[in-house]
Amino acid sequence: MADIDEVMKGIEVKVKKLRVRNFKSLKDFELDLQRLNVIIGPNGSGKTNSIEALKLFKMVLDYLRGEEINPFLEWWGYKNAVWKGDENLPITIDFEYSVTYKDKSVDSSYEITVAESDKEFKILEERISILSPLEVTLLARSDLWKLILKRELLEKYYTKVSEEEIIKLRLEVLDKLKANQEVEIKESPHRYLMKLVLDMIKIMADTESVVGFMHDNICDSISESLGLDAMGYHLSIVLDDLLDDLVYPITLGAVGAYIIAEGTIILGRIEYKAIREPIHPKRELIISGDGSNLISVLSSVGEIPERVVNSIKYVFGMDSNVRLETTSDGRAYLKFYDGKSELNPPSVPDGLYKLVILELALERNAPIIACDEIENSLHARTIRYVIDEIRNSSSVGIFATHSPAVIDILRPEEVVILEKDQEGATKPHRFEKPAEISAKLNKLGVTFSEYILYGGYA
Amino acid sequence: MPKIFVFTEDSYGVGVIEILKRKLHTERMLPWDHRIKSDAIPGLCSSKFKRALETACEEYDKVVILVDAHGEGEKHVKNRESVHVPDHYKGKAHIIVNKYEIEEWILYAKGHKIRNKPSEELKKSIRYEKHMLPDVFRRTIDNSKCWRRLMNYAKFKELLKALTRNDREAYAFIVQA
Repeated sequence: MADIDEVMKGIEVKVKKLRVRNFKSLKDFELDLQRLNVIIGPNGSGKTNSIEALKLFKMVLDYLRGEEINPFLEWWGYKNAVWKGDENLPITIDFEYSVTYKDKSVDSSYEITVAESDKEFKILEERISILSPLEVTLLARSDLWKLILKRELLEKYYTKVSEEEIIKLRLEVLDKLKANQEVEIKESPHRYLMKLVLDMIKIMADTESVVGFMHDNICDSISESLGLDAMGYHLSIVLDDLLDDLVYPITLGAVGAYIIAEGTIILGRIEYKAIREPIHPKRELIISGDGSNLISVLSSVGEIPERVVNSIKYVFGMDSNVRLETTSDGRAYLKFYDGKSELNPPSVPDGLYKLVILELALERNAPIIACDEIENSLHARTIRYVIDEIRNSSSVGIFATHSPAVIDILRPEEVVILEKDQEGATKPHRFEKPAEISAKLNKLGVTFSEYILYGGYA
Repeated sequence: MPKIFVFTEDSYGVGVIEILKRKLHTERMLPWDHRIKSDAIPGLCSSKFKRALETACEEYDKVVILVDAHGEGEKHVKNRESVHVPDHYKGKAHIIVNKYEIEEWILYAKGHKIRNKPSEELKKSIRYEKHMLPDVFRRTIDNSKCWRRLMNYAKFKELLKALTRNDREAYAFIVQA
């Protein structure tokens, strides 16, 4: 069975956009993502909702694994999760991202639509769309999958061939595929695309195998549905060729969506008491939202990463260190050394644990690291360090804050201002001319936070 | 007991100054009673940085602003930063601009060519990531050959001069050609 580390090996996922529809105050919410995105706005503007939408996305994966009965119970039921309590509306979460694997890169989007019916959680639809290098969409519903094609792609097959016999064969395949229409793949063996990914990970050992078998799986389903096995040898060769071009990017896109769901870290209220308690660590590779499995994740990783140690040196001084120690009965805990003394768990400040969690998430290349009220338990200097780390990493940071001290160290393009429109829907805004902000601040003699607060974004 | 404040471009520069401070003490180039404190420039070019600078100039004997030009032209960057220094403190603040990035010190010390993005060069050669800067700097200057080479690097010499000179004469801005 492959774990997240093995699946992520060699795959790079960069998240570019988040779209949410009908989740709480996010009626139609679209956010282009920078490396660092700090969300600000008045109480009730939707900051926490923006982060909770990511949480819902993660919980869908837990549902598919059988670990979650109904994600909406987190919000006491669908009525409290859906826009204006309208239970007739579905909720949609959509990411745009790029996936690179073995020098092949695809731009993709993954959209999932969920709802509740008879108090049961339902996945209504998944849609993987490949945006480049070619355009194709796989639509997955519980009873039916569809491949949606673009004629231009198929036409290139006409221009590639020169022999009459082959042209004739291609025409037959294209007729079968009904160019520019939806190709139904009936009786798909897997109800959900994300479930297919999870099932492949259960039985395969590494990325290559997961991608390969998923690709074969989807191609076989398409072939069978179209009755193309009966077409004959020559036609099936042509089809294999065509499907390789279409299905391989879809497979990469699906694995990319899984990595986003599985690898995203959303920090909520951190359970410092649980972190302080020495434990017999379990094998865990993804940090939980409350950080309570920090010791297990550090133990599973094998050693304290250099990045984590460097962050402690920044806070405590160059002679400091952090180590995993064990009690006499084999339970593990974190011990800090500040150059002069040792700090055992009861004496460790909360902020240090939070810093270790954030640094570990960066080290693990989490595709998204989200944190509500990033400033809690962290000194301004430490927040600055975390922000510099995000800026220099491959992760996307989405932080919500009320703190002027945080805002004042940001660049204008990193700020997302939320406000509600007349309907009560949360709308995100960014500065249109970020390059001009510096000059304005100097002219007005205000800080960045003052500028925003007193009308800088009007 | 002279007190010096160093503003760096980012958090990683603070770690470098700490390492350098120790090295200078060890090499007896800096008396132990010299107090050097450093912090990252607080965010955008704004009145906050101006106030931070004014406070540092008021409370410290010398203030050094250490920034990177990223190939934009050192003179241009120096003039841009000098705007923040209050007029009555112009003599106290010393602005040092790296041609590209602070990582150029490491490349120079190792005898490598300095090109447009020194951090990218280090990425290729030692799988460098920004959080490693203080450690990589420390290992570089622990090598005596590298240390001697670095002490001949113009930008580094400027910084050493700013940190180790004991007198309180006014410093003129050094504009690089």
